[in-house]
Amino acid sequence: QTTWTMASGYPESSFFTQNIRQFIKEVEDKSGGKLKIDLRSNDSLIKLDAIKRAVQSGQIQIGEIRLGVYGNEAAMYNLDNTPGVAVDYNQAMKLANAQAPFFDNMFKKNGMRLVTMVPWPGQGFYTKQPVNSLADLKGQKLRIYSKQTQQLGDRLGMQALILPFAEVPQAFSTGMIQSLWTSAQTGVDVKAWENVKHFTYTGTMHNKNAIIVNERALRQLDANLQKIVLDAGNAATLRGFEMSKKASADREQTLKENGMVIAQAPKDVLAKMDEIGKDMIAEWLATATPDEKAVYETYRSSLK
Amino acid sequence: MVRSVLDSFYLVCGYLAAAFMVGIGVCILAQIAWRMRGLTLDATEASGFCLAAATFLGLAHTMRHGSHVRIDLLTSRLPGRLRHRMNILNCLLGAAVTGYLAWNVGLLALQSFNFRDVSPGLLAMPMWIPQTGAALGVAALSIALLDEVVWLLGGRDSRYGAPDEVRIDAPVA
Amino acid sequence: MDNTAIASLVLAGLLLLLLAGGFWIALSLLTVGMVLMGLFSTAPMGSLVASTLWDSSWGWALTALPLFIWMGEILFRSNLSSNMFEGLAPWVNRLPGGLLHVNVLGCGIMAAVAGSSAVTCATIGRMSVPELQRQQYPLNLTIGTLAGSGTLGLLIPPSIIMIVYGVTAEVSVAKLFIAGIIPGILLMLFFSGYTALWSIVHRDRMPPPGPSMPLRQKLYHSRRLVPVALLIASIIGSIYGGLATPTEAATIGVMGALALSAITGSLTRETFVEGVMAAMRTSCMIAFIIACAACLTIAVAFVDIPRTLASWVDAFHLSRYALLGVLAILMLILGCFLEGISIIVLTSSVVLPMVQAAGIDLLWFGIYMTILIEAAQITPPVGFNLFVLQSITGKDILTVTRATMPYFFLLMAVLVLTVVFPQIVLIGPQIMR
Ligand code: NA
Ligand code: NA
Repeated sequence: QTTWTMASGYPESSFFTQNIRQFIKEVEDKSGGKLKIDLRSNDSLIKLDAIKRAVQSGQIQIGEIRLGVYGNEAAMYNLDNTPGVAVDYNQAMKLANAQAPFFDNMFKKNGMRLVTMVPWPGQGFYTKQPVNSLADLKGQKLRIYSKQTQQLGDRLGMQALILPFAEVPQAFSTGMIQSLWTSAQTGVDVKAWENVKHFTYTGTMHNKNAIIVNERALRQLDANLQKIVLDAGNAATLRGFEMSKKASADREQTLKENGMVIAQAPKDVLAKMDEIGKDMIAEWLATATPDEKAVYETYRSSLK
Repeated sequence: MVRSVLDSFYLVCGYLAAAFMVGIGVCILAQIAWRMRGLTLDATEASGFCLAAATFLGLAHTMRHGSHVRIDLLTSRLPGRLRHRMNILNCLLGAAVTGYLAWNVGLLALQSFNFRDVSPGLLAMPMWIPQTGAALGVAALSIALLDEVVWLLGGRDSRYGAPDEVRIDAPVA
Repeated sequence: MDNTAIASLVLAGLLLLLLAGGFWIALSLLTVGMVLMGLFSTAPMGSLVASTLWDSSWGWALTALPLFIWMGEILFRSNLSSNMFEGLAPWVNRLPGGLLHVNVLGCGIMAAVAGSSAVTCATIGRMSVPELQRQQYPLNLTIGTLAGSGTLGLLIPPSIIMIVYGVTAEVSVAKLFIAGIIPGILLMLFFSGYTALWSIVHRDRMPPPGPSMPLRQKLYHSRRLVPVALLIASIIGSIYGGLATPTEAATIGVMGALALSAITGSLTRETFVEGVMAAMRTSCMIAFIIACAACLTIAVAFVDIPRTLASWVDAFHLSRYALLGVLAILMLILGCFLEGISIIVLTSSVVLPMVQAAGIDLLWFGIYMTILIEAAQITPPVGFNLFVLQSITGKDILTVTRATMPYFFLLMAVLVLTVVFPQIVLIGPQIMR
């Protein structure tokens, strides 16, 4: 009997963690208890940003990471972080399929194995006033969390501020920031209704979390067990897409119940974001390697 | 000769640490100033690296200055010879533990180099660079402790008592 | 005996042995962490210790620590802090407890700026201890008021602990912040009240009260308060005016302190270098303890001690009040060895569902936990405020702990009050609705 230690960065209530719990149950059931996985969620063993390294170096056998964080290491990580590339779940699934062989290859080369990819719910603006047109966004102080979202905010004519998640509540109450651009999930996490009234859904992008396994730990299992883990991982991807969709709807419902007004983004905002996305893709293609470009081409042709 | 080289080594590390501490302030000041002009400059990462450098490079100097706190309640009441032996034992154990730590932080830096780990923010700093600094700082602490063992073996008194700057002579309640 | 019990005994025994032997506190935590992980887990110890030490040493939230300490050093070297005391003296020196109330009030104000307890304690302590010693205030009260009110850094917003708890328990951080204010003020009243009572009983050990002054003369003396008051106002103003985050406000504090000492002519090349070096040493000492404490924490997490203990409590299916009592004892025991944030993160997955099932309001429980974590800052052997005060006063930890004890019991008294009168916690968020 083998026991793996697994680390993740989100609380038990998050759909990511719930999906992992089901993945673990499936592995343990199908292996007849021969492989057990001890999940330590919510940063309680290893902090989210240190999990990739911990898996790679064999400190733990398996963990969940946020792919978008590693954009400085390979351009591919930035692709689903770029606005307008995959604006709905359908496209996000096709993008994931196109990326999978590339990621498989890259993680394997670095001593890891990609098992599961789960998308974040789509994004939207959290604002005090309704967003009826592009002009309503101009000049607002927007909290952002990455290079890509900073460019998006800047090009929409907003004042983009990078703030650590922990400083968001305080910054809201002091007026340092006026709006967020993030998912319904994060909006619920920060209890956005205490500061803003309107959630204007834009979709725009679905960046992904991934479950990764240490390659050596995986190889130490017998072939049958390996297959059980990888199959359960694939099932977790499919289930994760559904859970993400449902979480998005559920969280929007939570926002509504707390008195927020939910709206779809007006045409001119979407058109502007599309335009910005096209520029950013052009820039992305300039930094990407030929292999990475090929992934993008495969994805584009799978859309047709 | 060796004596003065070591002493200036600790001091230089200390000054470097202080410079990095000032660096934290400079980074944050730049961040505030840029924001007031409506621009984004993310200095959280840079100031974090300055903090780590200030902490690790300062270790040896802080040790020699007696500013690392410890509980000498019992040992200070031991008879002189026994206390002297306790001090040697502590410094030996300390040198061993920090030596082992420095070795592993060094391996961490090497691993980061092999993994090509890069910091996630705007800096995109290769992680092995600040980690090598951390390894050097811990190694310096280990050297300072070993230095202290040699000093104590010469039959002299320890040099890491309570720092002068905090001694306040006043009636104790 | 099972593995967890043996591991817990090894942890407590070895740590006490090393600390009693006069081994450095940071290195004691590190050594115990290494031994624990080496003996009781199969995880690769060397690699984990190294990466944990590194990861816990470059966090953004921690950058406020050296800067606030530096601010304290600048003020201490510039006579600004002694001026502040002279300005305050005419107002408080006829009160029982005299200038000691400055510690309580100063920490309360500093707590509105800083999110951590060690920072609050170190900044105010660096300024007030030399002055209180010069005026011959009893050292036990000087230490006790500082250690006790330093913990307010966690309860009065902003607070790192509340942010971690809020995100973990899915409770509004903003509401937690507001809920902490009334218990925080209550604690300040308790600390001041006790200090006043003590000094009435022990009048012989207090410095003689200064001369009484007419109001005009008091006001005239108060002009010396102006510079430091301006500095504090600009720090708090920069946060609540949306100019700086609480972490960044430390930099504003340093700039302000440098400007003030330049204006008053006490800023020379020499005092500047001295201040920087002293601040670097103090912050190096504290940050290294924090990093080594993280190594002990990850060892404890791999061996799974906190979760096992919490599950063990869960198995008793206690009634509501019994549960709160047992959890308090558990947190206090963990608090003797672990640092605050790790206590919350390591126990939350078992404790929070337990608490919820018992029908306890999670917002209220957040404040309950925060007060318990405050207590952990002043319980030996691992208590950050104790280390800070040991470093500032140069007294041994036993003296510091003994001086702090009464203030620990005052914390416990407020904890009991929040259980008996939950409104103390809940009324703030209700008014804000
Ligand atoms: Na605070
Ligand atoms: Na403690």
